[in-house]
Amino acid sequence: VSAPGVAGGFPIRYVVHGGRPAVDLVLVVEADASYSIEVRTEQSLPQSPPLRLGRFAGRIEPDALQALVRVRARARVGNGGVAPFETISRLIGSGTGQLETVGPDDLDAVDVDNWLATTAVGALESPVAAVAVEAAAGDGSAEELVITAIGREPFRLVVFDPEQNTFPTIWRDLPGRPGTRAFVEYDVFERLASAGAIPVGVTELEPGESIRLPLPPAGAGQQESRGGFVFYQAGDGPARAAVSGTWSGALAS
Amino acid sequence: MHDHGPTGESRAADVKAVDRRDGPAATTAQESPGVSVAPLQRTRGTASRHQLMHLQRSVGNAAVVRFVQREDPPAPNNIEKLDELLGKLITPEDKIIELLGAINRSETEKRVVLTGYRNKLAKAFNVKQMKEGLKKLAPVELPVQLDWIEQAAVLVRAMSYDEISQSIKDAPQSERDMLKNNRWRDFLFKVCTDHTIITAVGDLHFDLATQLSWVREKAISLRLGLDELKPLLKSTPPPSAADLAAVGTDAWQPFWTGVCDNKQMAELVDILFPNDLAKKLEWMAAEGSDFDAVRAKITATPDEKQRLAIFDNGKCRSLALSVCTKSQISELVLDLGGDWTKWREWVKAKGAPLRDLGLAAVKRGIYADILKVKFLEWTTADEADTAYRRLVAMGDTDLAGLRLSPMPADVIKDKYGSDAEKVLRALNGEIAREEKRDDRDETLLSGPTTEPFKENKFGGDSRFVLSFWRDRVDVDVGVSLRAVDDRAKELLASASATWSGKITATWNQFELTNAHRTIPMNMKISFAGGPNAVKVHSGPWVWPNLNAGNWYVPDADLVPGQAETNAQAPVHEFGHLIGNQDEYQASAEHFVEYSGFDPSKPGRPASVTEETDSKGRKRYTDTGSIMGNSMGGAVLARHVDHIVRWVNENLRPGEPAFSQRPKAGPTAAPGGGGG
Repeated sequence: VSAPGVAGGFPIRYVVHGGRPAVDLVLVVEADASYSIEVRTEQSLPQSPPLRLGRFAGRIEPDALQALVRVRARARVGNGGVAPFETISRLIGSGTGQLETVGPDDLDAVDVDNWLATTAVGALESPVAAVAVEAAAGDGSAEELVITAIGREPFRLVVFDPEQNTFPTIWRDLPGRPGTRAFVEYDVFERLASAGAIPVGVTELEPGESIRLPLPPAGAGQQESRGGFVFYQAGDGPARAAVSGTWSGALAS
Repeated sequence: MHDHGPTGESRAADVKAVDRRDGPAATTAQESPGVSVAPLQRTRGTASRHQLMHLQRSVGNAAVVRFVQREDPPAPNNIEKLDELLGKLITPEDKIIELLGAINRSETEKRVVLTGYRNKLAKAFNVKQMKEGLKKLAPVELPVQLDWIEQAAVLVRAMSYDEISQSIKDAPQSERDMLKNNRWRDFLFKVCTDHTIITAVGDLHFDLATQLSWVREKAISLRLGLDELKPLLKSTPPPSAADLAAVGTDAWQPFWTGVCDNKQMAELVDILFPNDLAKKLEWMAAEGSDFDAVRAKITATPDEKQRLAIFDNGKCRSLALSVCTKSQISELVLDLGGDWTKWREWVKAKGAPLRDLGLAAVKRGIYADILKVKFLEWTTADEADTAYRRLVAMGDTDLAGLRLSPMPADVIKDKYGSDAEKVLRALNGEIAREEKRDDRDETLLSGPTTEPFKENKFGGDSRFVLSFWRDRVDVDVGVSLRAVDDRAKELLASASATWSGKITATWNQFELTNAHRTIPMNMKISFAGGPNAVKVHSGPWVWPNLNAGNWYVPDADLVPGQAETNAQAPVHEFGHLIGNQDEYQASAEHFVEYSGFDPSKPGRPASVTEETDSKGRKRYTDTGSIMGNSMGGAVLARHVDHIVRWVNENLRPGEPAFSQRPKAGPTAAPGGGGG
């Protein structure tokens, strides 16, 4: 693939972010048409279990790349005024330049989005620094959330950092009123950290390594077992990016 | 016709013509049609009347005479004397009359005369003399008398009823009834004038229908009035109920409306239908009437059931509407009795103010309830806003009492027209109402953490209606859905039902309570239209296309992976539609303002996440809140705080402030719009 001319040069960074359901996706395309894609929320790309989050790699098709280049050419600095609630932002940048806003009606951006949703999803099979997250049976009748590093590079995460007031958010959906959830409280993580069961501060989870986090106990008579989680990917300096998704599993009888 | 013989009338005329032409010898057996004589009193022999009549027809009168003379004791020979007197050149009428008296002493001779001498005597006598002669022969059946008198008359039309009236009056009813046929009707029509026919039918004491039929037929040229006919209607003895019923049928109505003026009709109906108010009014309606006459009939009817039945009578309704002025119609319906539900339709149909009906009921003491009295006083003077405030100010018990009657609601609708809905809401318990519009922007911290967050503005023009009632608080949201593709159109109905169910189940979590009462807070969404516009799509969404104004139908067949997301996303949007802000990717200041806590401080809720960008700036998301997490977050008390505040700003005097609390028991989803 011969790279087309791009103002600002490569790499091209294409960011899709925001909204509800939450999307957090960063595509970085190099001049040789290779790309990496950061996927931090479950809803960012369609996928099937196990849930995979982190950085993945692939090669972009010429049509998609040309569309991306055209999007870059039309992007403008600044925001687009007031967007409707839940509007997901699309930003693009090239070289070392800042991110610029993609117009909401940019048809090439739509093509890029569709390429991401249908083709780039295949990159999930090529993890670079990523994790797989799923619920599993723990001790006794308890269930645990298991975060396992996949790919060829370590996955940098922060599970618990009392100095930064950082701790995971893990919940179980409870029966009864819609939206009722039970969360794992800060104290639980504090005890686990004191016991050495979970790491404190930035941790590099080597490929194949796992961290097991507690899930809230099920409600009385609860038949379904499902919930969600958020933990943090460590970035440069103080950067902490939320990594989120849902979990489900069969309750032990 | 001739094959069957002449009619009685023509036959009699023919006979008379023959008599005048041929003299006594020409008398035939047909000369006295319709004659009915008393049975022959036989002292010897066995000859019957029938045999005599047969003999008369076959061999003539003379033979009959001979037969009778042969069989009876020796006759005084008065018949021969009669023949002799009748044969004189100058007829000695007086002697003949005298002789008839003698003849009357012999039944045999009387029989001979009655069966064979009508024409002979008619030729000899004038009407007066015939009447004298008949007196001598008395008793003679009425039809025979009249037949002979008729024969004696040179010109029947020249006769007057007076000449025969006494015969009619003196006759027994059985003989009068013999005249109830066309033969005698025609005779009387000739004898009577338009006026005397009334007397005649009265004297005849026929059934009322026959009397009136004859009068109607004869007096066609006369402007008959009820006064003329009243003697028939009020005769002694009075007409039977059956008689009156016979002339009170619909077939008779045109006759009576022709006879009566309005006033007379009012009098007539009392005669014809003494116990039937509906009939009275229906006939008065047919003739035309006036308010006083109609009202008099109603007030003179003590039977409430009859009066109430009038409300369901279309003819009576039309009558009432035509005779009453707008002010009179209320009086009339009150006269009829019943209650408001009966009264109001006629008053409305007349175009009269329902308020006046209420006031009339007050004036009569029908409405003595002070609540109703006061209400009617208000609505007489108040404009809609004032009436609304007065109703809001009423105590719960008083208002509930007022609502027991349909009157207040009707009066409100009637009086306030396009403003009525508002006043009706107050009557039904509304205390305050406000159409809310929230177009505030929010600033979220967008973008990846690898770079400084970008402040992006988001917002919408959400509109909803808050209404605070004595027994509830309603939050109404109207959404206008527009499917933009065929699949979306196909699935729109089921999608709407799904969204409606999830929204109401999720958002109906709270009730308001104070020391006086606990009332539910009802979140209601209607997809039947409204100020909030949403485009509905189908297919897999790619990220930028799903937002507050663009929803995706759940499509388990074609896009199963997104069905749950698409079903759930509008639940979050409903929060915006009732004025809530997002609780994701927001600054700590945003949370302090909209959520009431500072997530940057230690001890933040376990549901709240914190991200940091490359410059150390933080943003927060509450994953436990429906406004922070569209996939199953909870509705929290803070999401309805602004509604509770609004309610407390609109409390009635003396009402303690409300606070919200989770509803007791299972969440009930109140009715919301589905489609």
